[in-house]
Amino acid sequence: MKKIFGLLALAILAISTVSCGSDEPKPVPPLNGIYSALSDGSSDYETTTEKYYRFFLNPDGTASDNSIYIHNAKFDEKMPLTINMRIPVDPKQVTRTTNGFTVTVNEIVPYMLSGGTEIPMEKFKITNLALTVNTTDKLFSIRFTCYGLDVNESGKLNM
Amino acid sequence: MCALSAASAQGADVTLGDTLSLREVTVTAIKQVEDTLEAGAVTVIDRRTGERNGVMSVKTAAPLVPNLFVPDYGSRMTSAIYIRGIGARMDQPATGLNIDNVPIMCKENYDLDILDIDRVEVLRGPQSTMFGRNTMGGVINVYTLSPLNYQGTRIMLEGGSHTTLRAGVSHYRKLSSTLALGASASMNSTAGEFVNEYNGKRCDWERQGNARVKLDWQPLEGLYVSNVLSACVTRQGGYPYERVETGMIAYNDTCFYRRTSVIDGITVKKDFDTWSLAGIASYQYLDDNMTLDQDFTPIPYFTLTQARSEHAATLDVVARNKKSGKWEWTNGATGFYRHINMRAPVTFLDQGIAELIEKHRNEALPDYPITWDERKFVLGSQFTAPTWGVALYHRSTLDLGKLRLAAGLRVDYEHAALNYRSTTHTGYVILHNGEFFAHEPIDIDDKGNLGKHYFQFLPSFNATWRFNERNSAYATISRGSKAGGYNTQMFSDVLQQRLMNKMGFGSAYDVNKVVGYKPEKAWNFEVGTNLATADRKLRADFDLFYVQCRDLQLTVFPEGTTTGRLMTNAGKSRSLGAEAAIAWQPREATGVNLSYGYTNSKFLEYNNGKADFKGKYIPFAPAHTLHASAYNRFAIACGDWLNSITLSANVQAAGRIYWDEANTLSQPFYALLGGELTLEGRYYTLEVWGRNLTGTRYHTFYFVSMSRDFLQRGRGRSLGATLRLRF
Repeated sequence: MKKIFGLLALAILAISTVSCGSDEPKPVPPLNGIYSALSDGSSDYETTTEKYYRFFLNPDGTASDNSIYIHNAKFDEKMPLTINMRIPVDPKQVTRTTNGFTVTVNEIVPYMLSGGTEIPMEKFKITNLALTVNTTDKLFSIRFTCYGLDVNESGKLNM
Repeated sequence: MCALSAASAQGADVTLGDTLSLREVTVTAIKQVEDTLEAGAVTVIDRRTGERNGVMSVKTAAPLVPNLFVPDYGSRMTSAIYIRGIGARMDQPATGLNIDNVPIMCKENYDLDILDIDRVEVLRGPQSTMFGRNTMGGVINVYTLSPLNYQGTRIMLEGGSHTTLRAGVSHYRKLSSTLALGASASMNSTAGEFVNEYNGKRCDWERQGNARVKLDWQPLEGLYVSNVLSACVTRQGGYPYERVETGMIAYNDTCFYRRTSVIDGITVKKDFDTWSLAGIASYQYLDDNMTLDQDFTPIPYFTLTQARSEHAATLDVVARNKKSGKWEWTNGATGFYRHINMRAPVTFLDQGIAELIEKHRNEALPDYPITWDERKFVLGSQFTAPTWGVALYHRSTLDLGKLRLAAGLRVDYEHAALNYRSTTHTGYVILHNGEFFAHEPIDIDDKGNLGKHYFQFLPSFNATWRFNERNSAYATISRGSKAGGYNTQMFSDVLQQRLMNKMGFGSAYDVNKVVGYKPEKAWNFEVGTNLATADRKLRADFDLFYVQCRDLQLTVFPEGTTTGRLMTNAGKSRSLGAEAAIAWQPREATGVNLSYGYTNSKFLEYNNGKADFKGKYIPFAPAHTLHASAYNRFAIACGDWLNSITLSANVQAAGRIYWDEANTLSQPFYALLGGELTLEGRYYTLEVWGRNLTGTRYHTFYFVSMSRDFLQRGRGRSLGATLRLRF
């Protein structure tokens, strides 16, 4: 009897150890996205004129769970408008890392957020997009080309 | 037989037919320094001088005062008064106006004709210690005839170029030995000078009516009560803006300005043995409507209406001791409340929708063009803006014989609030390959409440050295302030940005950041001298000044954007200059007057997000102002019908005036020649006059609308005659 209990205890211990070892902490994307921080440290995203990002990244989810939003986007004086846009991302283009996510996209047509309608903006096609989101250190960096303009930005996250 | 001689038997300021009380009773000079030798840079225009120069308003008094510039532009709603380069075109004024001791709360009520002006005082430099808010550039005090000092009937009839007619009648009488009543009514009408080429009609027509009832009462020895009730109704076309590219005034949509105002002010002053106590209370009502073709072109882009009703109440209580001993003091407490209701819709019309919205948007997204649901829609804005303030102030003067030292301090608190509602209900269709893709409604109904408050400490220091009873030198240091608050005219920017944001481009602004601004402050450093010869035939005032302004109230573009402005306190400026006023009367019948002002005003800091204007001249403030006049009166011994003939000539000049912060456009120095022939009898004065006799072409205002440049032309040559009767 003692032997059975001992073997059973060892088995439980072994299973527990294996379970704990395989359950490493996974970055969990917030339901309302990860925001880039505003320069004044506030959360007044509704009324800011500053460009900011929202990241919806979930490699385990569907296409509707993955997007990069850029608000008040005017990368250069040459851009005719300041645009609120959504860059759709395929979940396969999102990679989970130990402390966040990376995204790599070769080419994608973003959408302008026109009320409840999204309008594809062929003229503002995004190419060579590379994004790193570090949820541990609350930092991000992004680079891409849009409207013939090279964009390379980094900053803090509001988390 | 009438005899002509160059010498006049009459004094310069006494006209036969006027009845002057031997003892002048006054409830003026409630808080001002009574001795002008100690008052700093002051210009006083007496009644005679005013009538000779056609002074009937602040605007017409301005040319006689060094460094005071009140350009003629737009309508009577806009009174951009500049003193020493300090002024304001939007929202709060930088110069205070008091009429019969009542502080006029609304800048849009500054430009009105006033019959029977007895005296105009212009105090240059910050007067905020004694007069409070919005006196950073100075204060203008206008006093009308007092029926206790003047009795009789006066009639004024004037006709001039452009079918200009003025008429006024006033009657002043003593009802008893202690009670006197004055009543006046006047009107003016002009067909206008400038033609709107679009419809062939003159656009700057005007009709104005004024009425005033003044009751002066001295119920007891040492107790004076004065109540002035005035009303003014103005209707005008206004806005004679010519487009620089075409040189023409041509716009298709209606422009007008209507204003009705009523002001009642009561002054009570009680003299005690060693001190006096005065109270000045007022109620002010204003109702006006400005409607503009906002693009000022024949193309239907958009129109703007700003309709407002305003109620204000003020109270000022002043105690001061009478001169005896070395120490003179003045203590005061003041308060005000002002409540504004306003609606300010902007209506987008067909071409405005096509070019400002559809074209802009479709160029960026040609595969998915939009068409608006209707060819006219409204961006609506409504506001209520209650503002109130209280202040305590004190001034002490130490008399050390020839040297007098004065110091004062005002502690001022003000609270400004704004309750707003911005609405629009419209929409647009998105097409793709010529087919319907989507419809987007735009429904905006934003409400909010804003509030801010300020404390201000406003000191002043003055040292005066009196050489004798006629000559003095002084030095002054004073701090001034222009109130903070909310610029409701910026709401059109807020709502346009909101609309664009709903469409997917543009940012939605923080309303408080866009329309709110803090007080503007200034320090003034000044030295001057007041001189007169022993016989007082030659008098001269000179002064040098340096003014530094901080927290300039400016509009800038937010970082990273090139559309949509916001108010901010972002700049510093400085003004330095000199002023001179000389009056020479070699004989009783001859006089020469000169007033000259020089101002060098520049930005020390100002970056509007698109360009840096550091070192540039401040726009709209002239570098030089000049007024020179000469007259000679010939006595005629011809009974009551003709006592004298006076010939006078004057030159008024101003400039250079820069029109933009970048100093790329300007109005060069210009001069206007005037002349007058005056016949005077026992009961009348007939003046035949001419203004801008050489027909000088000049401009008084410049602005940009929708990337188009506009200028307002100055008034051309005008001729006329004024008949004044008095009995």
